[in-house]
Amino acid sequence: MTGERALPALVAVVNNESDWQHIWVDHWYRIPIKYAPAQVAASFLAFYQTKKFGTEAWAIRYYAQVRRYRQASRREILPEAPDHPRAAESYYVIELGPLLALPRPIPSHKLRRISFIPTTLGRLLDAQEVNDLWLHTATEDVLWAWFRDAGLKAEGQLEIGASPLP
Amino acid sequence: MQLGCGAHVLGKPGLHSYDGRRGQHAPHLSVSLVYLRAVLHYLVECEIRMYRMAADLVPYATHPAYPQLHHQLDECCNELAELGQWVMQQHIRLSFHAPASVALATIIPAGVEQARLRLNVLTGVLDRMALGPEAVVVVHVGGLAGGADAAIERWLRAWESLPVATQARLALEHDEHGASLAVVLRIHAATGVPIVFDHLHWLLHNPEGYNLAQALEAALATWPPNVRPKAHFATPRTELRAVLKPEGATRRRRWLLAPPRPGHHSDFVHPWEFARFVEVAGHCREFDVLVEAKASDVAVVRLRDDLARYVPEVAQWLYERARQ
Repeated sequence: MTGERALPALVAVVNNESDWQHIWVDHWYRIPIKYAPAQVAASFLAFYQTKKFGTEAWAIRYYAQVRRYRQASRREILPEAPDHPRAAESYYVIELGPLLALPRPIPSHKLRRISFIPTTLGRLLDAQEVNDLWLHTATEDVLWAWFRDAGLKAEGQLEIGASPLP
Repeated sequence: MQLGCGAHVLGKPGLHSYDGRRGQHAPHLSVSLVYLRAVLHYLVECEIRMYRMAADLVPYATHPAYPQLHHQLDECCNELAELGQWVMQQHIRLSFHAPASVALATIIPAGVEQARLRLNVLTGVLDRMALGPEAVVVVHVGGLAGGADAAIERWLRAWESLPVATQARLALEHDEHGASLAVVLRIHAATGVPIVFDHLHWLLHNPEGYNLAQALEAALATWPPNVRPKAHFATPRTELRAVLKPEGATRRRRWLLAPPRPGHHSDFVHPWEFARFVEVAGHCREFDVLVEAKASDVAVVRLRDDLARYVPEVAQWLYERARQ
Protein backbone atom coordinates (compact mmCIF):
# COMPACT_ATOMS: atom_id res chain seq x y z
CA MET A 1 0.00 0.00 0.00
CA THR A 2 1.54 3.32 -0.98
CA GLY A 3 0.73 7.02 -0.99
CA GLU A 4 -2.51 8.28 0.35
CA ARG A 5 -4.03 4.83 0.74
CA ALA A 6 -1.55 4.21 3.55
CA LEU A 7 -2.60 7.35 5.42
CA PRO A 8 -4.40 6.89 8.72
CA ALA A 9 -8.17 6.98 8.90
CA LEU A 10 -10.18 6.83 12.10
CA VAL A 11 -13.63 5.30 12.31
CA ALA A 12 -15.72 7.11 14.90
CA VAL A 13 -19.15 6.31 16.22
CA VAL A 14 -22.18 8.51 15.64
CA ASN A 15 -25.13 7.58 17.82
CA ASN A 16 -27.40 10.59 17.65
CA GLU A 17 -28.96 12.96 15.16
CA SER A 18 -27.44 16.09 16.68
CA ASP A 19 -23.86 14.87 16.22
CA TRP A 20 -24.75 13.82 12.68
CA GLN A 21 -25.96 17.35 11.93
CA HIS A 22 -22.62 18.76 13.07
CA ILE A 23 -20.80 16.34 10.77
CA TRP A 24 -23.10 16.74 7.80
CA VAL A 25 -23.89 20.46 7.98
CA ASP A 26 -21.23 22.11 10.14
CA HIS A 27 -18.38 19.81 9.12
CA TRP A 28 -16.95 18.99 12.52
CA TYR A 29 -16.80 16.10 14.94
CA ARG A 30 -15.80 16.14 18.58
CA ILE A 31 -14.01 13.60 20.74
CA PRO A 32 -13.61 14.06 24.48
CA ILE A 33 -9.85 14.12 25.09
CA LYS A 34 -10.39 11.95 28.17
CA TYR A 35 -11.81 9.15 26.01
CA ALA A 36 -9.80 9.72 22.84
CA PRO A 37 -8.04 6.65 21.47
CA ALA A 38 -4.24 6.62 21.63
CA GLN A 39 -4.14 6.93 17.86
CA VAL A 40 -6.62 9.77 17.55
CA ALA A 41 -4.64 11.40 14.73
CA ALA A 42 -5.97 10.71 11.27
CA SER A 43 -6.12 12.32 7.88
CA PHE A 44 -9.59 10.90 7.24
CA LEU A 45 -12.55 10.34 9.53
CA ALA A 46 -15.26 7.76 8.83
CA PHE A 47 -18.50 7.26 10.71
CA TYR A 48 -20.09 4.14 12.12
CA GLN A 49 -23.80 4.81 12.48
CA THR A 50 -25.67 3.07 15.29
CA LYS A 51 -29.29 1.93 15.63
CA LYS A 52 -30.67 5.51 15.73
CA PHE A 53 -30.08 5.67 11.99
CA GLY A 54 -32.67 3.09 10.97
CA THR A 55 -31.96 1.66 7.55
CA GLU A 56 -28.45 3.14 7.58
CA ALA A 57 -27.60 1.66 10.98
CA TRP A 58 -24.75 -0.70 11.91
CA ALA A 59 -22.55 0.31 9.03
CA ILE A 60 -19.95 2.81 7.89
CA ARG A 61 -21.22 4.65 4.83
CA TYR A 62 -19.49 8.03 4.84
CA TYR A 63 -16.09 9.54 5.40
CA ALA A 64 -14.49 12.96 5.17
CA GLN A 65 -11.10 14.59 4.86
CA VAL A 66 -9.76 16.01 8.09
CA ARG A 67 -9.12 19.73 7.69
CA ARG A 68 -7.63 20.44 11.09
CA TYR A 69 -7.64 19.54 14.75
CA ARG A 70 -8.11 21.98 17.58
CA GLN A 71 -8.81 21.70 21.27
CA ALA A 72 -11.73 23.40 22.94
CA SER A 73 -14.02 23.03 25.92
CA ARG A 74 -17.53 21.68 25.47
CA ARG A 75 -18.83 25.11 26.45
CA GLU A 76 -16.95 26.67 23.53
CA ILE A 77 -18.09 24.01 21.09
CA LEU A 78 -21.73 23.94 22.20
CA PRO A 79 -22.46 27.40 23.64
CA GLU A 80 -26.19 26.59 23.73
CA ALA A 81 -25.53 24.26 26.68
CA PRO A 82 -23.23 26.30 28.96
CA ASP A 83 -24.37 24.52 32.13
CA HIS A 84 -23.91 20.99 30.91
CA PRO A 85 -22.18 18.84 33.59
CA ARG A 86 -19.23 18.35 31.21
CA ALA A 87 -19.19 21.96 29.94
CA ALA A 88 -15.62 22.53 31.13
CA GLU A 89 -14.19 19.30 29.71
CA SER A 90 -11.71 19.43 26.85
CA TYR A 91 -12.47 18.02 23.43
CA TYR A 92 -10.68 17.50 20.17
CA VAL A 93 -12.68 19.35 17.56
CA ILE A 94 -11.93 17.79 14.20
CA GLU A 95 -12.85 20.10 11.35
CA LEU A 96 -13.90 18.19 8.27
CA GLY A 97 -14.32 18.55 4.56
CA PRO A 98 -17.57 17.59 2.85
CA LEU A 99 -18.98 14.16 3.60
CA LEU A 100 -18.17 11.56 0.94
CA ALA A 101 -19.91 8.25 0.35
CA LEU A 102 -17.76 5.14 0.50
CA PRO A 103 -17.76 2.96 -2.63
CA ARG A 104 -19.82 0.47 -0.62
CA PRO A 105 -21.18 0.51 2.94
CA ILE A 106 -19.06 -1.39 5.46
CA PRO A 107 -21.48 -3.37 7.64
CA SER A 108 -20.90 -4.92 11.03
CA HIS A 109 -22.44 -8.37 10.61
CA LYS A 110 -22.66 -8.92 14.34
CA LEU A 111 -24.05 -5.40 14.95
CA ARG A 112 -21.24 -5.02 17.43
CA ARG A 113 -20.62 -2.10 19.73
CA ILE A 114 -17.68 -0.14 18.45
CA SER A 115 -15.78 2.79 19.91
CA PHE A 116 -12.97 3.84 17.56
CA ILE A 117 -11.18 1.90 14.84
CA PRO A 118 -7.80 3.23 13.72
CA THR A 119 -7.31 2.09 10.14
CA THR A 120 -6.04 3.39 6.80
CA LEU A 121 -7.74 5.04 3.84
CA GLY A 122 -6.91 2.00 1.70
CA ARG A 123 -8.62 -0.40 4.09
CA LEU A 124 -11.59 1.94 4.36
CA LEU A 125 -12.06 2.01 0.60
CA ASP A 126 -11.62 -1.76 0.18
CA ALA A 127 -13.32 -3.19 3.28
CA GLN A 128 -16.24 -5.59 2.84
CA GLU A 129 -17.09 -5.53 6.53
CA VAL A 130 -15.92 -3.90 9.74
CA ASN A 131 -13.47 -6.70 10.54
CA ASP A 132 -11.45 -5.83 7.43
CA LEU A 133 -10.61 -2.46 8.95
CA TRP A 134 -8.51 -3.54 11.90
CA LEU A 135 -4.78 -3.03 11.51
CA HIS A 136 -3.25 -6.42 12.08
CA THR A 137 0.24 -7.74 12.21
CA ALA A 138 1.29 -9.54 9.01
CA THR A 139 0.56 -12.91 10.65
CA GLU A 140 -2.92 -11.84 11.70
CA ASP A 141 -3.58 -10.59 8.18
CA VAL A 142 -2.75 -14.01 6.74
CA LEU A 143 -4.92 -15.71 9.35
CA TRP A 144 -7.77 -13.31 8.70
CA ALA A 145 -7.60 -13.97 4.92
CA TRP A 146 -7.76 -17.73 5.60
CA PHE A 147 -10.80 -17.32 7.83
CA ARG A 148 -12.52 -15.21 5.21
CA ASP A 149 -11.69 -17.57 2.33
CA ALA A 150 -12.89 -20.55 4.36
CA GLY A 151 -16.20 -18.79 5.09
CA LEU A 152 -15.57 -18.80 8.83
CA LYS A 153 -17.35 -16.00 10.67
CA ALA A 154 -14.50 -14.66 12.74
CA GLU A 155 -14.39 -11.38 14.65
CA GLY A 156 -11.22 -9.33 14.89
CA GLN A 157 -9.98 -7.34 17.90
CA LEU A 158 -12.81 -8.55 20.10
CA GLU A 159 -11.99 -8.25 23.78
CA ILE A 160 -13.01 -11.27 25.78
CA GLY A 161 -12.88 -11.85 29.49
CA ALA A 162 -10.64 -14.56 30.87
CA SER A 163 -10.33 -16.19 34.26
CA PRO A 164 -6.97 -15.98 35.92
CA LEU A 165 -4.81 -19.02 35.38
CA PRO A 166 -4.99 -21.54 38.24
CA MET B 1 23.80 10.90 27.00
CA GLN B 2 20.35 10.50 25.52
CA LEU B 3 19.83 8.25 22.51
CA GLY B 4 17.31 9.46 20.00
CA CYS B 5 15.75 8.40 16.72
CA GLY B 6 14.59 9.81 13.43
CA ALA B 7 11.14 10.87 12.31
CA HIS B 8 9.75 7.61 10.97
CA VAL B 9 9.06 5.36 13.96
CA LEU B 10 8.48 1.68 13.39
CA GLY B 11 7.86 0.10 16.76
CA LYS B 12 4.11 0.63 16.88
CA PRO B 13 1.80 0.26 13.89
CA GLY B 14 -0.30 3.22 12.87
CA LEU B 15 2.06 5.98 13.99
CA HIS B 16 2.82 8.67 11.42
CA SER B 17 5.24 11.54 11.63
CA TYR B 18 3.23 14.14 9.70
CA ASP B 19 0.08 14.73 7.64
CA GLY B 20 1.22 13.23 4.35
CA ARG B 21 -1.76 14.12 2.19
CA ARG B 22 -1.14 15.81 -1.12
CA GLY B 23 -1.51 19.56 -1.36
CA GLN B 24 -4.89 19.52 -3.08
CA HIS B 25 -6.33 17.76 -0.02
CA ALA B 26 -5.18 20.57 2.25
CA PRO B 27 -2.97 18.73 4.75
CA HIS B 28 -2.47 20.73 7.92
CA LEU B 29 0.01 21.26 10.73
CA SER B 30 -2.76 20.76 13.28
CA VAL B 31 -3.17 17.19 12.02
CA SER B 32 0.61 16.67 12.00
CA LEU B 33 0.76 17.82 15.61
CA VAL B 34 -1.77 15.22 16.71
CA TYR B 35 0.34 12.60 14.93
CA LEU B 36 3.46 14.00 16.60
CA ARG B 37 1.86 13.85 20.02
CA ALA B 38 1.04 10.15 19.53
CA VAL B 39 4.63 9.45 18.43
CA LEU B 40 6.07 11.30 21.41
CA HIS B 41 3.82 9.46 23.87
CA TYR B 42 5.00 6.18 22.38
CA LEU B 43 8.66 7.23 22.57
CA VAL B 44 8.28 8.23 26.21
CA GLU B 45 6.88 4.75 26.87
CA CYS B 46 10.08 3.39 25.27
CA GLU B 47 12.24 5.77 27.32
CA ILE B 48 13.42 7.54 24.16
CA ARG B 49 13.55 11.25 24.86
CA MET B 50 15.24 12.57 21.77
CA TYR B 51 13.44 12.79 18.46
CA ARG B 52 14.00 14.32 15.07
CA MET B 53 10.70 15.64 13.78
CA ALA B 54 9.68 15.26 10.16
CA ALA B 55 10.89 18.10 7.97
CA ASP B 56 7.41 18.10 6.38
CA LEU B 57 5.64 18.59 9.70
CA VAL B 58 4.17 21.80 8.29
CA PRO B 59 3.04 20.41 4.94
CA TYR B 60 3.36 22.60 1.84
CA ALA B 61 4.16 25.58 4.08
CA THR B 62 6.34 27.20 1.43
CA HIS B 63 5.01 25.58 -1.74
CA PRO B 64 4.21 28.34 -4.24
CA ALA B 65 1.19 26.46 -5.60
CA TYR B 66 -0.56 26.37 -2.21
CA PRO B 67 -0.52 29.89 -0.72
CA GLN B 68 -3.58 28.97 1.36
CA LEU B 69 -1.27 26.63 3.34
CA HIS B 70 1.34 29.27 4.13
CA HIS B 71 -0.23 30.43 7.41
CA GLN B 72 -0.34 27.16 9.29
CA LEU B 73 2.16 28.25 11.92
CA ASP B 74 0.01 31.20 12.92
CA GLU B 75 -3.13 29.06 12.79
CA CYS B 76 -1.57 26.57 15.24
CA CYS B 77 0.07 28.94 17.73
CA ASN B 78 -1.89 27.58 20.68
CA GLU B 79 -1.38 23.92 19.78
CA LEU B 80 2.37 24.45 19.30
CA ALA B 81 2.71 26.26 22.61
CA GLU B 82 0.72 23.64 24.44
CA LEU B 83 2.68 20.73 22.93
CA GLY B 84 5.97 22.53 23.56
CA GLN B 85 5.10 22.88 27.21
CA TRP B 86 4.41 19.14 27.46
CA VAL B 87 7.66 18.35 25.63
CA MET B 88 9.63 20.44 28.13
CA GLN B 89 7.89 18.76 31.06
CA GLN B 90 8.84 15.37 29.63
CA HIS B 91 12.47 16.47 29.01
CA ILE B 92 12.27 15.48 25.36
CA ARG B 93 14.88 16.90 23.02
CA LEU B 94 13.42 17.74 19.62
CA SER B 95 15.15 18.81 16.45
CA PHE B 96 14.71 19.03 12.70
CA HIS B 97 16.95 18.02 9.85
CA ALA B 98 16.35 20.32 6.91
CA PRO B 99 15.53 18.48 3.69
CA ALA B 100 18.29 17.86 1.16
CA SER B 101 16.89 20.65 -1.03
CA VAL B 102 17.93 23.19 1.60
CA ALA B 103 21.40 24.12 0.41
CA LEU B 104 22.63 27.51 1.56
CA ALA B 105 25.82 27.20 -0.52
CA THR B 106 23.89 26.59 -3.73
CA ILE B 107 24.91 28.54 -6.78
CA ILE B 108 21.23 29.03 -7.71
CA PRO B 109 19.81 32.26 -6.22
CA ALA B 110 16.25 30.88 -6.17
CA GLY B 111 17.58 27.92 -4.20
CA VAL B 112 18.82 30.23 -1.46
CA GLU B 113 15.42 31.92 -1.23
CA GLN B 114 13.65 28.55 -1.04
CA ALA B 115 16.10 27.38 1.65
CA ARG B 116 15.49 30.56 3.63
CA LEU B 117 11.72 30.02 3.54
CA ARG B 118 12.02 26.36 4.61
CA LEU B 119 14.40 27.18 7.45
CA ASN B 120 12.16 29.98 8.69
CA VAL B 121 9.23 27.56 8.88
CA LEU B 122 11.21 24.94 10.81
CA THR B 123 12.56 27.61 13.14
CA GLY B 124 9.03 28.94 13.53
CA VAL B 125 7.87 25.56 14.84
CA LEU B 126 10.63 25.37 17.47
CA ASP B 127 10.17 29.00 18.51
CA ARG B 128 6.40 28.71 18.83
CA MET B 129 6.93 25.60 20.95
CA ALA B 130 9.23 27.79 23.08
CA LEU B 131 11.88 25.05 23.11
CA GLY B 132 15.36 25.71 24.46
CA PRO B 133 18.46 26.37 22.35
CA GLU B 134 19.28 22.64 22.18
CA ALA B 135 16.35 22.27 19.74
CA VAL B 136 18.15 22.90 16.47
CA VAL B 137 17.61 22.70 12.73
CA VAL B 138 20.46 20.68 11.24
CA VAL B 139 21.62 21.69 7.78
CA HIS B 140 24.40 20.71 5.40
CA VAL B 141 26.63 23.07 3.46
CA GLY B 142 24.97 22.08 0.22
CA GLY B 143 27.64 21.44 -2.38
CA LEU B 144 31.15 22.67 -2.99
CA ALA B 145 30.79 23.96 -6.56
CA GLY B 146 33.76 26.19 -7.36
CA GLY B 147 35.76 24.80 -4.45
CA ALA B 148 35.54 24.96 -0.67
CA ASP B 149 36.46 28.65 -0.39
CA ALA B 150 33.74 29.72 -2.82
CA ALA B 151 31.16 27.45 -1.18
CA ILE B 152 31.96 28.78 2.28
CA GLU B 153 31.66 32.32 0.97
CA ARG B 154 28.23 31.57 -0.54
CA TRP B 155 27.10 29.83 2.65
CA LEU B 156 28.15 32.79 4.77
CA ARG B 157 26.33 35.24 2.51
CA ALA B 158 23.16 33.15 2.64
CA TRP B 159 23.46 32.76 6.42
CA GLU B 160 23.77 36.52 6.86
CA SER B 161 20.50 36.97 4.97
CA LEU B 162 18.60 34.77 7.45
CA PRO B 163 16.56 36.28 10.27
CA VAL B 164 18.43 36.24 13.59
CA ALA B 165 15.92 33.75 15.03
CA THR B 166 16.68 31.32 12.21
CA GLN B 167 20.44 31.80 12.52
CA ALA B 168 20.16 30.98 16.22
CA ARG B 169 18.50 27.62 15.55
CA LEU B 170 20.91 26.35 12.90
CA ALA B 171 23.47 23.59 13.44
CA LEU B 172 25.76 22.44 10.67
CA GLU B 173 26.63 18.85 9.79
CA HIS B 174 29.63 17.73 7.76
CA ASP B 175 29.01 15.60 4.68
CA GLU B 176 29.86 12.09 3.58
CA HIS B 177 31.45 13.77 0.55
CA GLY B 178 31.94 17.44 -0.18
CA ALA B 179 32.11 19.55 2.96
CA SER B 180 34.39 17.78 5.43
CA LEU B 181 34.62 18.49 9.14
CA ALA B 182 37.42 21.01 8.51
CA VAL B 183 35.19 22.93 6.08
CA VAL B 184 32.28 23.20 8.52
CA LEU B 185 34.69 24.18 11.31
CA ARG B 186 35.73 27.13 9.17
CA ILE B 187 32.08 28.13 8.86
CA HIS B 188 31.70 27.79 12.62
CA ALA B 189 34.71 30.07 13.14
CA ALA B 190 33.03 32.74 11.04
CA THR B 191 29.50 32.42 12.37
CA GLY B 192 29.40 30.53 15.65
CA VAL B 193 27.01 27.96 14.16
CA PRO B 194 27.54 24.74 16.16
CA ILE B 195 28.71 21.59 14.41
CA VAL B 196 26.91 18.24 14.55
CA PHE B 197 29.46 15.42 14.47
CA ASP B 198 28.32 12.56 12.26
CA HIS B 199 30.11 9.29 12.93
CA LEU B 200 29.34 7.67 9.57
CA HIS B 201 30.25 10.78 7.60
CA TRP B 202 33.52 10.99 9.49
CA LEU B 203 34.27 7.37 8.54
CA LEU B 204 33.43 8.03 4.89
CA HIS B 205 34.99 11.43 4.34
CA ASN B 206 37.88 12.48 6.53
CA PRO B 207 40.46 14.08 4.24
CA GLU B 208 42.14 15.84 7.16
CA GLY B 209 42.79 12.52 8.88
CA TYR B 210 41.24 13.46 12.24
CA ASN B 211 41.08 10.54 14.62
CA LEU B 212 37.76 10.00 16.38
CA ALA B 213 38.73 11.85 19.55
CA GLN B 214 40.03 14.85 17.62
CA ALA B 215 36.98 15.01 15.37
CA LEU B 216 34.45 14.56 18.16
CA GLU B 217 36.09 17.05 20.48
CA ALA B 218 36.45 19.64 17.75
CA ALA B 219 32.73 19.38 16.92
CA LEU B 220 31.55 19.34 20.53
CA ALA B 221 33.65 22.42 21.35
CA THR B 222 31.61 24.46 18.85
CA TRP B 223 28.50 24.33 21.05
CA PRO B 224 27.89 27.04 23.64
CA PRO B 225 28.71 25.89 27.17
CA ASN B 226 25.06 26.02 28.25
CA VAL B 227 23.75 23.97 25.30
CA ARG B 228 24.17 20.22 25.22
CA PRO B 229 25.67 19.23 21.86
CA LYS B 230 24.25 16.50 19.69
CA ALA B 231 25.94 14.03 17.38
CA HIS B 232 24.77 11.44 14.86
CA PHE B 233 25.75 7.80 15.03
CA ALA B 234 25.34 5.16 12.36
CA THR B 235 27.27 2.25 10.99
CA PRO B 236 27.40 1.42 7.29
CA ARG B 237 25.09 -1.18 5.83
CA THR B 238 26.82 -4.36 4.68
CA GLU B 239 23.89 -6.50 3.52
CA LEU B 240 22.57 -7.06 0.03
CA ARG B 241 19.68 -4.80 -0.90
CA ALA B 242 16.74 -5.41 -3.23
CA VAL B 243 16.43 -2.94 -6.10
CA LEU B 244 13.85 -2.64 -8.89
CA LYS B 245 15.67 -2.48 -12.21
CA PRO B 246 14.48 -2.53 -15.82
CA GLU B 247 15.78 -5.58 -17.68
CA GLY B 248 16.07 -6.85 -21.24
CA ALA B 249 14.40 -5.52 -24.38
CA THR B 250 11.02 -5.04 -22.69
CA ARG B 251 12.59 -2.96 -19.91
CA ARG B 252 10.27 -4.75 -17.54
CA ARG B 253 11.23 -3.96 -13.96
CA ARG B 254 12.39 -6.83 -11.76
CA TRP B 255 13.62 -7.08 -8.21
CA LEU B 256 17.35 -7.75 -8.17
CA LEU B 257 19.88 -8.04 -5.39
CA ALA B 258 22.63 -5.46 -5.30
CA PRO B 259 25.51 -4.72 -2.95
CA PRO B 260 25.06 -1.85 -0.48
CA ARG B 261 25.94 1.66 -1.59
CA PRO B 262 28.79 3.31 0.30
CA GLY B 263 27.22 5.47 2.95
CA HIS B 264 24.04 3.46 3.23
CA HIS B 265 22.91 3.39 6.82
CA SER B 266 22.49 0.00 8.44
CA ASP B 267 19.12 -1.12 9.77
CA PHE B 268 20.47 -1.58 13.29
CA VAL B 269 23.54 -0.39 15.13
CA HIS B 270 26.54 -2.63 15.68
CA PRO B 271 26.80 -2.67 19.51
CA TRP B 272 30.58 -3.13 19.63
CA GLU B 273 31.09 -0.24 17.21
CA PHE B 274 28.93 1.89 19.45
CA ALA B 275 30.86 0.76 22.53
CA ARG B 276 34.10 1.88 20.85
CA PHE B 277 32.48 5.25 20.12
CA VAL B 278 31.43 5.55 23.76
CA GLU B 279 34.99 4.76 24.91
CA VAL B 280 36.06 7.99 23.23
CA ALA B 281 32.87 9.90 24.02
CA GLY B 282 33.29 9.12 27.70
CA HIS B 283 36.26 11.49 27.82
CA CYS B 284 34.38 14.35 26.12
CA ARG B 285 31.83 16.82 27.39
CA GLU B 286 28.29 15.52 27.80
CA PHE B 287 26.26 15.25 24.56
CA ASP B 288 23.29 13.44 23.02
CA VAL B 289 23.32 10.99 20.14
CA LEU B 290 20.74 10.65 17.43
CA VAL B 291 20.91 7.09 16.11
CA GLU B 292 20.58 7.23 12.33
CA ALA B 293 19.64 3.62 11.67
CA LYS B 294 16.93 2.53 9.27
CA ALA B 295 15.05 0.76 12.05
CA SER B 296 14.81 4.07 13.93
CA ASP B 297 13.24 3.64 17.39
CA VAL B 298 13.44 -0.15 17.12
CA ALA B 299 17.19 0.17 16.54
CA VAL B 300 17.56 2.35 19.64
CA VAL B 301 15.69 -0.15 21.80
CA ARG B 302 17.72 -3.01 20.31
CA LEU B 303 20.99 -1.15 20.83
CA ARG B 304 20.21 -0.64 24.49
CA ASP B 305 19.35 -4.35 24.85
CA ASP B 306 22.50 -5.42 22.98
CA LEU B 307 24.68 -3.18 25.11
CA ALA B 308 23.11 -4.54 28.29
CA ARG B 309 23.76 -8.09 27.11
CA TYR B 310 27.21 -7.80 25.54
CA VAL B 311 28.80 -4.63 26.90
CA PRO B 312 27.06 -4.08 30.25
CA GLU B 313 29.57 -1.52 31.48
CA VAL B 314 28.67 0.72 28.53
CA ALA B 315 24.96 0.16 29.13
CA GLN B 316 25.43 1.15 32.77
CA TRP B 317 27.42 4.24 31.75
CA LEU B 318 24.67 5.24 29.33
CA TYR B 319 21.99 4.67 31.93
CA GLU B 320 23.77 6.89 34.43
CA ARG B 321 24.44 9.61 31.86
CA ALA B 322 20.80 9.58 30.75
CA ARG B 323 19.74 10.18 34.34
CA GLN B 324 21.94 13.29 34.69
